[in-house]
Amino acid sequence: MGRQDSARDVTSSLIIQRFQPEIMKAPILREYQVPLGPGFTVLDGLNYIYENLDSSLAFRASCLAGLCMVCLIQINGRIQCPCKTPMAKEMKLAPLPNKKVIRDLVVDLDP
Amino acid sequence: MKSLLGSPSTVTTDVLIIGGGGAGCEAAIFAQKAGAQSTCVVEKGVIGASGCTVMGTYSCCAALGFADPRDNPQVHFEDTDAGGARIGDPELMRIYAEEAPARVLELADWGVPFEKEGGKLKQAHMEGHTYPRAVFADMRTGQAMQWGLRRKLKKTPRIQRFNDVQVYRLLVADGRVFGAVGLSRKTLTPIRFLAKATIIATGGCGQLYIPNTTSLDNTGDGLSIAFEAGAPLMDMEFVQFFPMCWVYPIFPGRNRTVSSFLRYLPGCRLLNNRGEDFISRKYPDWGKTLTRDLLSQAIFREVIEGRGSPHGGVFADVTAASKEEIEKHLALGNLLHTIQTMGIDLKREPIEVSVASHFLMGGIQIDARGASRVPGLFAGGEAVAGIHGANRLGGNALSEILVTGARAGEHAAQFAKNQKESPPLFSLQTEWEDWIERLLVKPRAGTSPRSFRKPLQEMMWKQAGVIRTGKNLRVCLDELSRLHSSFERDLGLSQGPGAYHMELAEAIETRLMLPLAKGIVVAALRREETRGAHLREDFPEAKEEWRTNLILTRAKDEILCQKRS
Repeated sequence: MGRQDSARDVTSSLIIQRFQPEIMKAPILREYQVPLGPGFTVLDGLNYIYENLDSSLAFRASCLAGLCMVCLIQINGRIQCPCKTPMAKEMKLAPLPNKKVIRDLVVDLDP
Repeated sequence: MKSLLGSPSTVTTDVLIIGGGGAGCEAAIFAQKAGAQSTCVVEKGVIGASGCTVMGTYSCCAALGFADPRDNPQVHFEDTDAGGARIGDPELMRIYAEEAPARVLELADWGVPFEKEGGKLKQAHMEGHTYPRAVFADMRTGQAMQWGLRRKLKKTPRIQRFNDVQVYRLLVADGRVFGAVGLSRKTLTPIRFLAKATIIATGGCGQLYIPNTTSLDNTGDGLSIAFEAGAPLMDMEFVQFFPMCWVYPIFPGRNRTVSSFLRYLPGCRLLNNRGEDFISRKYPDWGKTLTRDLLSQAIFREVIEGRGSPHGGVFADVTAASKEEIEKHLALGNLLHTIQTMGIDLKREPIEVSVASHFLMGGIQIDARGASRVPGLFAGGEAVAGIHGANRLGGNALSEILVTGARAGEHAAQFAKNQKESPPLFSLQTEWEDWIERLLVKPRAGTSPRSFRKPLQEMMWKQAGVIRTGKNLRVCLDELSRLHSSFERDLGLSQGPGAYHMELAEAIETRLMLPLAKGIVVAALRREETRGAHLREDFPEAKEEWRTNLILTRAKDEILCQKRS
């Protein structure tokens, strides 16, 4: 075993829609390089960015098991849970459509 | 507090419910039913989605008597009492066993798709229960229940819902609770909730440990703020660990509990790093019958004594099982397919499993009405103590949240009806708000809030985990004290004010977690015996003098720990 441990110099490009409505006029896209290992999910990528590259990034997460739907975002245009979506070499991440953005990938879910 | 993104606001309500999971939703529904003119559900995440209820895999137990007509609440009570190693509160356990059937049937009426057989709810058999009494909805019972509760909540009138509001303190005056203050994560300003009755339904504190099986939100906020407000906590030493959670390889997007199904495969072996089957000799039929506490202890011992697998667990080996058996037992939730797409062949290699913090038997001390010792403060769900004693039976949690949630809602509403006086004035500029402002207004290099989390979790697992000794628990208290000092001294946020401030939310959580961790260790140190989920190597027997509960109360900066009188 050790398949998931193997040190590989493989990275993924995560292109994320960033938006802070209180200080920005419109969303922008920012690209991040994150390590890509076997079994890595998109949420792993988001956590990597937050912990190591850019702690201004905002995203939701709760169950880590694809059950709660709290982390739902658009991944390459499809609505999915990043907690169970395997990371690919290049992915575009955006918040849920048709909802007011609070910040970055977090939208307003209040009634 | 200096206006950061918006102005502080005040919301007045009859009933305030902190926590929007299973118990919180049920409490709101029942508060309204009992005549509350206004109810607020306040959740730091998303109501009806965050928390652990939605993660419940399998069972919700109630003595319906459908699968076996010999079953009744008396037997369920006796099973629960035995499972709890005889220190559950008899009155609370009895109420739970008696009311669980009605609450479960109600949920079915509300449209929760529990499985049926011959027109009646189907019931499965769980360890420790005399008769089959677990209702279930595929392998997503918790999700089905949570979504059903959310639907019902949305249809219930006179309930206001607040997502993304992180409550960090209760409003207390003259020894009474008058509501709470929460930080709006949208506007980064405090909201003062003035409530005639307040209910804590924030779950347990599984996130104090790693590995854990819980939602990231399970940081024990409600327990911490209740304790701070003077509400005694009980049975805090009883943390249930879940055996055979996966640790390696990583199963992306899969609940950590799924690998426990391997235990039901005939021929499943648990091996340490010497290739020894460390469990079958003592427990030959362990796969089917061994309860969670004993299985957790066996696994933990191998790890802590240096015989663990490379990633901190033991090996679960089903290479001897037939292809058909593997397919049958892992068909649930498409698990086998997931494993295969990762290139893992269970017939050729084992996986690594460990024990994860799973559930807190302890919590806020309540009476039969769900009332804490502080007038105006109620509690329901995993946040309460007294029903599961020293060890919870599988399937009892998902039904308990309904019973205790409903009762807290009903009694809080009744309490609110009798409150005529206006609450005192409460400042929105206390030490808490000063602390938040300091963190935000001066971003600086320092230790990020997230950096404190893992050391806390690893320390708790190792020193206050499944197998405890007085020596390790004292070491833990020292390390917690050091961590606390470091948190106060070194914490720094890198980001200034902004909506949905991740670092600030984590800092608030960590600040609330630290005293709770200390409470668990203090209680674990005090209980000099072994009972249920609490194992003391230095006191390996259960003692009759300890057939009681430990109550924690706050006195200034000290935690007092006394036997229940």
